[in-house]
Amino acid sequence: MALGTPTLRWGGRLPVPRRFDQRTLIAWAAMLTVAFLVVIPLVVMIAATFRPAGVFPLDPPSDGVTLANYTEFFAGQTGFIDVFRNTLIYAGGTMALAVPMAFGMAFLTERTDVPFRSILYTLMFVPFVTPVFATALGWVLLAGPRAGAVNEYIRLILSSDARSGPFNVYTMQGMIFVTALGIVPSMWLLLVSVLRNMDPTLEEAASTAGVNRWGVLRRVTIPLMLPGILAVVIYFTIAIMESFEIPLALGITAGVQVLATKIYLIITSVDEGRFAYGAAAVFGLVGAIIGVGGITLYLWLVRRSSRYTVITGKGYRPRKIKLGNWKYVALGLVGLYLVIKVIMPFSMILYASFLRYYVPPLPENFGSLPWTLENYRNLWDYRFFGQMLVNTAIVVVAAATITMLLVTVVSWAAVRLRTPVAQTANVLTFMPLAIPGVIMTLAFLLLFIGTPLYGTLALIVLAFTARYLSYTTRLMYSAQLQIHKELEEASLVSGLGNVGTLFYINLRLLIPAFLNGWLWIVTHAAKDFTTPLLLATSGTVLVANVIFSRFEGGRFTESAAVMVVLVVLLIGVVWAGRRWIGGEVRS
Amino acid sequence: MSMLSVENLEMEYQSDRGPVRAVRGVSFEVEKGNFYTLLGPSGCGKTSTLRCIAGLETPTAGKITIGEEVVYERASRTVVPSHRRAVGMVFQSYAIWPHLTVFDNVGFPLVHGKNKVARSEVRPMVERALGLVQLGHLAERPAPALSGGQQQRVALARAIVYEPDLLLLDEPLSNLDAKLREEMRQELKDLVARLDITTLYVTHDQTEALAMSNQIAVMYEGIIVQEGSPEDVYLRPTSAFTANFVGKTNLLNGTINSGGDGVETDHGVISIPLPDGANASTSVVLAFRPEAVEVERANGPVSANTIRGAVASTSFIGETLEYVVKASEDAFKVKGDPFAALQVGDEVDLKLPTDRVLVMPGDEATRAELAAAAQLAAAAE
Repeated sequence: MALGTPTLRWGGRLPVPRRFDQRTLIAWAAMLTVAFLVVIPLVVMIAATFRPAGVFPLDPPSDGVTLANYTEFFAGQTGFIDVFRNTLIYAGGTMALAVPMAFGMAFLTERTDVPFRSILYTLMFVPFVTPVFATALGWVLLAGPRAGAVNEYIRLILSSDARSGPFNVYTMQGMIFVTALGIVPSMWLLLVSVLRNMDPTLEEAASTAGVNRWGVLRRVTIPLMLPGILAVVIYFTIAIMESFEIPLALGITAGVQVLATKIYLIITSVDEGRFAYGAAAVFGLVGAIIGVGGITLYLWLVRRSSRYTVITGKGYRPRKIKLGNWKYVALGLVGLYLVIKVIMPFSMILYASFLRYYVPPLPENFGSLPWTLENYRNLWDYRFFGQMLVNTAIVVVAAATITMLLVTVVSWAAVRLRTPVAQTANVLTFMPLAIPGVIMTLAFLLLFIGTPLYGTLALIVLAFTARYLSYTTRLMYSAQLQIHKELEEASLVSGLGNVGTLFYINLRLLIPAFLNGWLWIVTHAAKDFTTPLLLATSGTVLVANVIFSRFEGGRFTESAAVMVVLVVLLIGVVWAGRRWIGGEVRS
Repeated sequence: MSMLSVENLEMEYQSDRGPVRAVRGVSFEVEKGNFYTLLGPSGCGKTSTLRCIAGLETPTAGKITIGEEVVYERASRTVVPSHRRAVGMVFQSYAIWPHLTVFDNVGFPLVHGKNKVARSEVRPMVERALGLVQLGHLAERPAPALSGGQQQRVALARAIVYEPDLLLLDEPLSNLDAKLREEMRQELKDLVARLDITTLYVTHDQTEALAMSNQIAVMYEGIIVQEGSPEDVYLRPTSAFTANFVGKTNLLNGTINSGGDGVETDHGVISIPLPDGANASTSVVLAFRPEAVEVERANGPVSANTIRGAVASTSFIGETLEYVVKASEDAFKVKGDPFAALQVGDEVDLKLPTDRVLVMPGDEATRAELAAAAQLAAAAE
């Protein structure tokens, strides 16, 4: 042959019958891993509902099997009526406040000529790096009944003699207000895509038929968007059921317990020396059933709304409504939101983090503010501070890496192999979407309590992996669909095996999506309070545990300093990550 | 020596409407150094056959041998995975890895997997392969910055760089524009001839198949309907499908006459050797290529084996003139001398040399096959 070097390296081997080839094994491995992460904990949680107080769910049956958890639950002894009523009011109130805000802002940024759009878009992403708990703490400092800065100023201006009020963040209304502020950015993001997916010619057709602008909005735009909006509403209702930080920061003081905090309280309060995991598990089971129902409704609505989605592919943008001078009012409204959501609470946190003890920023105090750098300096002195940062870094990096590797394999198997085993793995990853995070974490606690894994960072990593499986699988699945099958086949024919191809071709081509998902997990896990507060023990303290313990002890200024460090680190990670992804995409 | 042997290959895949038998008992052999083409419309099973040979699909029955090695055999449950087969392949999409440079794409098989060579050998081998496809100057370019034709060359270099026993080409030219396609056709043919590499080529394009191959297998509905040299397939089709799929064909209905030595048609008796077992008064279809017919101005009485008609339309395409000639109900496509043009309305005689006419049974099955072939050929244009 003209190419020379006539060394045939593949000669002389016996063909081996391979009934279980590598691909089948990979699919099975992916399916069993996912099943272990999402199915077994839930099964154990159900088992736990039948165990009496003081017994671990996996203890031998001889230690007792009981229906008492259910009878107590339905007899109302565990206060389920209050809990579910509170959860309902909390979710409903939050939606009633957040949906108009998010829709209004999506409409303004997407369909009107509101000025500085690109800056607004960037600013809308700022809340994504700020922990929910930080907003809560910020608003405690702003609207705490006595020393809240807003309250102090209002009383000052009105020359009121009252010692507290007019606002009190430690109420149901306070919880709803702060939660609604928090979910507006994510809701805005989804509504923007609902607005973008609509074919503008449908509106133009109504305009040319003689309907005025308000009529078009009311009779065409909103009805067409309705399934999309409803889907978003249901999605966030489930998300609020999961919401843990704000009910924890505000609701417990207010005496308002919702599902997530109720489960937390049952688990952490040891009643007469006996833990009542069974009672918590019943709450978890009922919450999971509601979640599965909600997500089923959600998926049904998404399918329905995608029927309305007309991808014209013409790439023209809908006409923007000209606001005239009103556009400054619109800009002011969006700006006001950002001030209330980001600037006010974070100024308070930053301010508090430099104080020895919290003093409201009133003119009368300005001369005598107890400025200090001690809160930051103390961080390095805390015996466990270094450990808490290292622990958090290990947990979020390990969780992000393991999860992304797993979902890469799962989505590869689901897209390429399409075998029943691979499809099962893919379907199972949907489950954590329906199960509120606090319940998922509870299930992990129940599965591993009493095992050597309990009290290790590995358990926290596993719990995060299970919780973040759903979103990242969707992400990788759609990225995988973009990769032409022949790119992998070319590698196989070139002589590289399945695993090598997965590594050198598939994973390599998926790096932008992989990094995106990885960053998403890192930022979410670092901000999360649910899993650390339920699973961390004294040896595995995370940043969230420290923030909460200082907060709970009334040491707001120390809590604020840890929060500032966390936010700064997160902004750094996201900034670096985005640049990295940007570089990858360009190359 | 046969480099590839396929015996009774069958393949089935699952579709939404149940199992589909894509390949239904295909057998052929490719001699070492030959250029063998599977030609057929989309869905005929040619790509499935190729992918079974590459190991990218698993057949349901049969046996595949590459060189000395049995890579698939149903009976002994042998399935050698794709990456251990001694093949190189060029994909329809080229499958150039966008995260690598041209050099790294071509060098990939030499760096990873079973075709790995010593580090020091990688560069000379890649450079040689790139030189063969005339891309030496683009080695350091990132793959996405290549044109379609260049990507095609990279794919080819990557497939031959490790000197596989067998080169598999899956419609490699179909994504190129017409001019480039013609250029690459010649280049590809010369290259594989120079390397003396055994090649299996899959295409729906009859011009490619005829111009490049030593051997052609025409496939239809999962089976090979005719196998032979390009001349055999074009000039001497043995099946209704081949006749109507490869090239243009005129069809003429008739009935075998009582003497059993000719065919009674609307245009008189065509005396023609009939296949064994053809009985009198059986209905038949005669098929002949436009090039097979001699066209003359009508002159005197109609002679034997001649159809008289009138020119209905002409189209001048440079090297030849194409006429449609109407004779009573029938219309025939024929070719004429462009220097001696006929006019619309001119009376002409079409002389049918009997050795250029294919006699087929006039039953339903044949007619259906002819109709399908015509439709698929038009779709493949």
